Amino acid sequence: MNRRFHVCWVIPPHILTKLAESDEHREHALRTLALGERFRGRREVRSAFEGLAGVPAGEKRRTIYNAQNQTTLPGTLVRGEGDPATSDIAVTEAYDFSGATYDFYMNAYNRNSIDGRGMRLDSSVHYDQSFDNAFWDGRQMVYGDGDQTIFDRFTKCLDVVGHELTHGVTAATAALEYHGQSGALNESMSDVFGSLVRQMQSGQTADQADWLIGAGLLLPVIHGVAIRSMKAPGTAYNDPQLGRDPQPATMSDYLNTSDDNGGVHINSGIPNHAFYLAAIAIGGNAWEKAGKIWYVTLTQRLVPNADFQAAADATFDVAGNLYGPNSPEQKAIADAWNGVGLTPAGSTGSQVTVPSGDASGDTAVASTKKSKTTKPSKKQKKKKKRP
Amino acid sequence: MNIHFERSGGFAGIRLKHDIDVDALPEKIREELQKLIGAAAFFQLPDSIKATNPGADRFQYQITVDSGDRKHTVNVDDAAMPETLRPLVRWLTSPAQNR
Repeated sequence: MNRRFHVCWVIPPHILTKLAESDEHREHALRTLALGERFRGRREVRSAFEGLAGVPAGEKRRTIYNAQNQTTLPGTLVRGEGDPATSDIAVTEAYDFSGATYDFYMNAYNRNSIDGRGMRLDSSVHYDQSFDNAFWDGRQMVYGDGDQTIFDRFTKCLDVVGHELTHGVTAATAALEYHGQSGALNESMSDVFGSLVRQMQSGQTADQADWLIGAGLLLPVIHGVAIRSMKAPGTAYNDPQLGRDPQPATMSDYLNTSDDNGGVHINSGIPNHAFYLAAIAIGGNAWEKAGKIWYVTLTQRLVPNADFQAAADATFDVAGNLYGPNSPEQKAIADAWNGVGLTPAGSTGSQVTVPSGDASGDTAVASTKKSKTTKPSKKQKKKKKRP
Repeated sequence: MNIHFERSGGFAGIRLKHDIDVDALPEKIREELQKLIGAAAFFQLPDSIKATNPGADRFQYQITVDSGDRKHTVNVDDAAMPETLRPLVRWLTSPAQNR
């Protein structure tokens, strides 16, 4: 796909002089592949919890594990649902924030957990050593402690936890492929709902919210306020060690790269900014209308290879279904996408009107690539995956 | 010996990249690094070690070791990292110290 490799923000070499930990690592040197280890360990742990499968719908079920600075998942169970808090702040944050995210999905969209059927929320903290990351491994959330030089611990921010959990929601619904534009949409959905979790928790309207992702994750010595900004992509940090926030806000700055699965954490700035513009234009609590439009789009309309144009088309169509054709909400969606350089099919701003949900054929939408298909529109029966 | 290291992806999407002139390192550190490369059986690793289910927000690494007579590049997903290689990756990603 994109073979050109533009990097305008290379980190100065991290030069290493200390080798502190090699002795303790060497004992693990003869281990077999990590993946095999992980799956073996997981099956044993999972079987111990089979009795919980019958918990009634609509109840949170959280389990927090301590990976004890190793990479075998999930690690040791340290806190289950309803257990008292421990003295470990990472455990407390993973527990509280995954609970807040569960509550968000339930209260805002009546969604019962990741899969809509009360799936248990598993989180592992203290993954690996000085690990600068949080991730969704396909089944659970995983958090590193950060290097404590640049990054603080990754459980620190509610929106980061909401981001990771939303990867589970996406996997259970649109299953957006994790590369290129569909991957950037996948990333953007995680940022959108991660931000909305925090906005709901803080009781902030769209104009009161900071629209930052990972605020507080960078240590004070770093010149930056967060990892990403949905309000102003590309402005979250600018630091000699980290370089500059590379996110574009509009299609004209779309970055073609083979890095990062085709820049999924970079080009997500474009749909992120579209959501911000829509939420601000609609006003009020962003999770109520803009969030609802995005939620319905994610869970009912997008297909795994959906691109930005497909998301623009689908959100516009969904806004029409929910709030009426030519409603202020639908116009706000059209304006928001136009603001990032995309024109939703069927909107008055487009050169050619394309029937909703059918962007196939030889219609040319000005300045955009032809859309990947969205799911057939409107009253089509919701079809969910049943794993 | 030279090592070229790149890490991309991750929640932050921040690219980490550096080149290390191993011969210029103090002897003790050089020996440690060579042990880590040996313990990883680095030159016997496949060129590409990809995860079948990479999840989301995971790191990808590219590591090249050029010892003069041998040169090998490995692209490896964090999700499929051999445990024998992880100590070397930890060394290469540990917090920056000024030389």
